[in-house]
Amino acid sequence: MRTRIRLLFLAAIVSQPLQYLITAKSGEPYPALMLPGFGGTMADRDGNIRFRNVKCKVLFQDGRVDWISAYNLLSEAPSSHHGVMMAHMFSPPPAKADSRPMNTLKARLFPGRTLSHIRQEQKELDPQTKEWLKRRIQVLYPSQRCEGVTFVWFDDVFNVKRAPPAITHEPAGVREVRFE
Amino acid sequence: MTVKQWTDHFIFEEYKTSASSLGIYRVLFATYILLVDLPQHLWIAHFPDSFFNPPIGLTMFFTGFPGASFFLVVNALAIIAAVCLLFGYRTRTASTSFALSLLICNCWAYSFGKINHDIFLILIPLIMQHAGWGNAYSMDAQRRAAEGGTEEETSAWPMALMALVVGLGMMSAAAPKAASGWLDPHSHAVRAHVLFNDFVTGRSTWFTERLLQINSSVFWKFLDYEAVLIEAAFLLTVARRRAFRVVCALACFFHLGIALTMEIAYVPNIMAYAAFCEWSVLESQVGGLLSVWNRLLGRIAVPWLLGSGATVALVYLRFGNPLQLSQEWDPVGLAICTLSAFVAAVFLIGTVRSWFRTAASSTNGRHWPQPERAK
Repeated sequence: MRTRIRLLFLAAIVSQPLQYLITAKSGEPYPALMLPGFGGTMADRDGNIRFRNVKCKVLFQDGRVDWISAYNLLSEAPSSHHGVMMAHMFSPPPAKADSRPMNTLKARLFPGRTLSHIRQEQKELDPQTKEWLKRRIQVLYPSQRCEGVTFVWFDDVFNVKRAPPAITHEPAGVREVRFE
Repeated sequence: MTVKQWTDHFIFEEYKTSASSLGIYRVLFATYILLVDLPQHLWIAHFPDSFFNPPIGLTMFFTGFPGASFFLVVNALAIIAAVCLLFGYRTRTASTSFALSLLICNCWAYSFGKINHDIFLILIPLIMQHAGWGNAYSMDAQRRAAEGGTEEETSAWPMALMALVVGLGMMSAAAPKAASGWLDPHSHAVRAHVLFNDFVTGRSTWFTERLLQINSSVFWKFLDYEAVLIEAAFLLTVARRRAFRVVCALACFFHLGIALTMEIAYVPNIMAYAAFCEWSVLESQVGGLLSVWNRLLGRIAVPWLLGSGATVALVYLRFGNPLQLSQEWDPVGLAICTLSAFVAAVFLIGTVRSWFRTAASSTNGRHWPQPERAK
């Protein structure tokens, strides 16, 4: 019994490098004995603190425009998920579409990961996502007809050497979604 | 002392804890789970399969999310298991069932590309059941006593394993910081993360605004070093229970600071640190209340208990948990962080006083040695 317990302790220790290896190669696994790393200092070479942000521009059929935050759009999900979900689902489309095959052994074994990657690399938003977005906007603006949503991505840059810190916004791309 | 003796002392001796302390901890853990944590992840059903973005893990073999009824059933099981855990009925089965239900729900909730790091809430019941957290203040203990059995002993090794797991987990947070510039004297990582939290996630408080007005490099650098140091200290002190408990107590202030400035209450971590608190001191403070609890346990019939669990599940899943408030603000999490800091302060004051007393008595002993008795 004692030997088994000692082996359990050993397993807990040995599993750590394996976990770090998987994280480095394929991203953080779950379940895993990991806590939030908050790695990086978000600072560029000049010491400016820089991070990516997004706002959603809602276009109505009568020509009016309204802005909503990622928090409002994804309020059904926990706020901890909003940043990653926005980046994965509504980032600016890539320069060229990815043609990752679905018939490889890896794709057949792990279809969820492959499909997720393909969706992210597509220029056009997935029809299911588009439909969800349309429904969601209808919930947020029940009495108005929406024509589309533009996700405007920008980098917030904080020059902390100035007091108070100066803030500038640098454009980082857009994703336009038009409803039929 | 050889390495084997030292290792065995750490695993089998160092973290010995009384059954009453573990029993009280189980009641506190289950109360937190029932009042605050459950039900979980019912929101998943609002999103289509196109949002499916699984990590390496159990859900990567699927192509989308299960239906809403799946999460209702798993949550109902988790709630009934948590009620059984609270009253200490079939504690081992309840602990395992709760941990597995939570794990299954989490696997799907974290298949949106974001992993919330609450793994301790799963590991606590899996590990602590072996420590004997069902051996006091539980229906199991009452049943054993009624059958004429002897009180089961507690085991030290699960507590040591829990400490090691906490230490390794916290090191997984410290290492990426240390490796990515947090220790660079010219960077201000905490400041950047507070700014990010304020401007991007929108989690901003009165304290955040005041904190961001501070422009002292020394202050911000101190916070960077302090964060890495406190997270690394868990693993560095794991072999000594007393030192490990001091680190747990200090970390409660660290988490209170994060909750106040970033609105992130790391309650799963606080629940893990709470395993190392000597809860049996409450027997001398609120012994009457605990006696009432024990008498109550003796009168509970099993069908009533399971019926209560099913009723709580029905109410929570039909109307929601009244303590799960708006996501914009987490007053319950903040209250738990504040309470943990208060408990930590009491513990640290007691520890410092005991150190002073020990130091004073040893100093007195050196300066005024007792005269040798005449043979």
